[in-house]
Amino acid sequence: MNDYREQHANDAGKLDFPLRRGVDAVLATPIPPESLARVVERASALQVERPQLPARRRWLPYSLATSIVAALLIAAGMWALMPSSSWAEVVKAMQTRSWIHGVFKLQQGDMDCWLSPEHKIHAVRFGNGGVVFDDAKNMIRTQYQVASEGATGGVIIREPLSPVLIAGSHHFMQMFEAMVRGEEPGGDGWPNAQTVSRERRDVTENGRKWTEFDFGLRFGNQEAITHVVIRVDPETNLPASMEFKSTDGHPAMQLVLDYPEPSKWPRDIYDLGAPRTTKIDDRIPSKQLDELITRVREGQEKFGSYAAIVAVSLGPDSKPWQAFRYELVWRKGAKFRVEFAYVLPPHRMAAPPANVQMFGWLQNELKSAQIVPSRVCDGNVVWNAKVVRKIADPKELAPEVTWERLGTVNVGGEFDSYAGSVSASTLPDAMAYGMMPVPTQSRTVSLVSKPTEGPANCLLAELRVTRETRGAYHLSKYWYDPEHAYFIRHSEVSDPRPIRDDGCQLNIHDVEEFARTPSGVYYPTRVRRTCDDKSDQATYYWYYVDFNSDLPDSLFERKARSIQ
Amino acid sequence: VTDDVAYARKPGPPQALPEKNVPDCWDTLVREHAAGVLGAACRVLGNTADAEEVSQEVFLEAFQKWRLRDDIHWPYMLRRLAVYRALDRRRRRKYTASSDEIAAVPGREAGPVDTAVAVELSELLRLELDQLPAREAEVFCLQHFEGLERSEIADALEIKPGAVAVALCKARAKLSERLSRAIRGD
Repeated sequence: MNDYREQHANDAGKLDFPLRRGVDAVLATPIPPESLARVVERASALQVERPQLPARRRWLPYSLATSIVAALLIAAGMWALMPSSSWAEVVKAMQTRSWIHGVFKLQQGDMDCWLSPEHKIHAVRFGNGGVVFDDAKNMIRTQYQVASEGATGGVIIREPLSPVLIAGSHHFMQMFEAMVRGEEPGGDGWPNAQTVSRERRDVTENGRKWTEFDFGLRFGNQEAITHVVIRVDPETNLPASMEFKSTDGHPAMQLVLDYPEPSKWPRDIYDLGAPRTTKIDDRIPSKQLDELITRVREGQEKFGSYAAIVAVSLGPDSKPWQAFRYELVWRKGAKFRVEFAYVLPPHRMAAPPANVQMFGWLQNELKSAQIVPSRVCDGNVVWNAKVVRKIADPKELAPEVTWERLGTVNVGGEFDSYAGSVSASTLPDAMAYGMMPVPTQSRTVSLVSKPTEGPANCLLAELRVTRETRGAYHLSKYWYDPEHAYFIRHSEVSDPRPIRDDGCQLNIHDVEEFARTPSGVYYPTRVRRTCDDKSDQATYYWYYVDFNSDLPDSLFERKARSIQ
Repeated sequence: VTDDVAYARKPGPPQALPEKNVPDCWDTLVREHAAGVLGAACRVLGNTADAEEVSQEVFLEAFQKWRLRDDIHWPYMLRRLAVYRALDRRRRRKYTASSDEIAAVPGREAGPVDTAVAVELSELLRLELDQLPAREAEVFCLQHFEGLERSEIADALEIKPGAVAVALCKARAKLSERLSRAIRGD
């Protein structure tokens, strides 16, 4: 036992080769962004109020605040279905109001929220002064973040209001709209809530009369019942407050409601207290960037179907008939198939005849190559071929494969067409138009009209990571060529941090030659890739594309072989 | 492709674990730790689809604890759960030799030869992890895949640091020897 401890102490965390290389390789395992989005979405769906943690909880979370308002609206809708209830009058009264304002009375301080289904705005001001203002009509979120303790000044962030954010916090808006239309609200506004009781009563407090509607809810399979008690002013028929009380003994929370006059409607984040002198971090695409995004999307859409052979060779003097590997690609709309072809010894290709049509020549030469399937996409789902093989002997590559679901494609979507499903360099359309320079929650995009570096007459888009993501490059630069349908002429992704022994801190892809598709957009025919500016170790990608190939649908089925 | 794939594929150690322990709300906890949980599961499984399922299991389990307990160090707990569930899934499914070709395709960030070898090694390492006793595999993954210190692993697993050292040393020795043998083709 002692030997182990001593050995461990002396070892100091170092691993022998090849274990160290194996660990490095595992650490480089990809995490597709769409997978992460799915995990967040599904896990967030479990969200309910966390019971009683007063020592650590400082402010009621934004989503909870909006959800509580949602509960009010669900309650409103359900009571409206009861013909004998005066709640119908309450609903009618609420329909006359453009805005609802609520104040949560919490031990830690008040928290204000505003809701306007008419203007599609909802906003929250937290007790520490922070503000979130969501404009669902223009799809913009503006957020004022106060400075952390000890720091000076805050920041206002303007960013696109993504569907993910809306799904997470805007369901109450939909519920209210449904109520105003007189429809029965669905169950989405408050997931897993079941109505277990309803009660209406008249109460008098300090000489004033109120009507209370007590609405019992059970969340999920919890034993506890949460009572939403809505107190209505009988003179105006408008709800004046809502109280949340749980049968499991957690402290009640109260929301005091009012209906502000137009002069008090919040127009923007400044009306809610954000200082006008605050620095603005604007992540909304500019007009010029919007134009670029449109052009890139057009490039993706117009690229067309094709069959391609991509030769991957090493070294500046290498030729496409001396490639390390060939990648066979078929693309038809959103469907694609990728296979690798290896020319194993003793076979070697000789130089092709002069003026030969390279696609056809290579296609013929590769008939004797060993083919290994890699990816098949049926237009939506990308399948990865898993091949049984041994590391020591590539001759044992076997054609037997099993297929596993890898992800989905997003051609023409907000971000990257094939993100997480296939490498950019494999598909000529991905190399040309794969990168959509859209600002996101985790990255900013700035545009340089006349860059002083890189290819001439190009637009430079600089993408910077703003939220630390494991494995994320800090800076990615793409040069789009407006004279050639905005295809990517040059790209550099870099990171100031040391990555690993054999990794790259600066990856450069430079299009050395390119061609035009029949549809009028462009793609690279030769790309030079260097790592950390080591020119003598460059990798070359040669693209031979045939836009007239026959592409039967059977190509995109999960079969081990397409050709032989 | 392009940069988002580069983001996801660039090699490097996992992010340092956040210091914040108890998040204010479930949504915050999910958003802060989803990448860590999914990443931990991906690293052990080498398979995105399974890693997503494991991540869901982890968050479901964490959700039960989150509602009832206030004494949990969530970064450790979630990483530990992710590794444990992922290893368990590998054992239950008896993973066969496989290769995730995504990394074998040269992208904008890695050389093809390096990458092809790395894929083979990572898959071999995962297969050898399957052969280790559960505790040794778990300790190895938490230190070398998740970057936890010995004391942090001890906290997460609720065992003594000495026991962590023993398990770790055994795991390293076995893996190193088996991996070398596999590469030599013995």
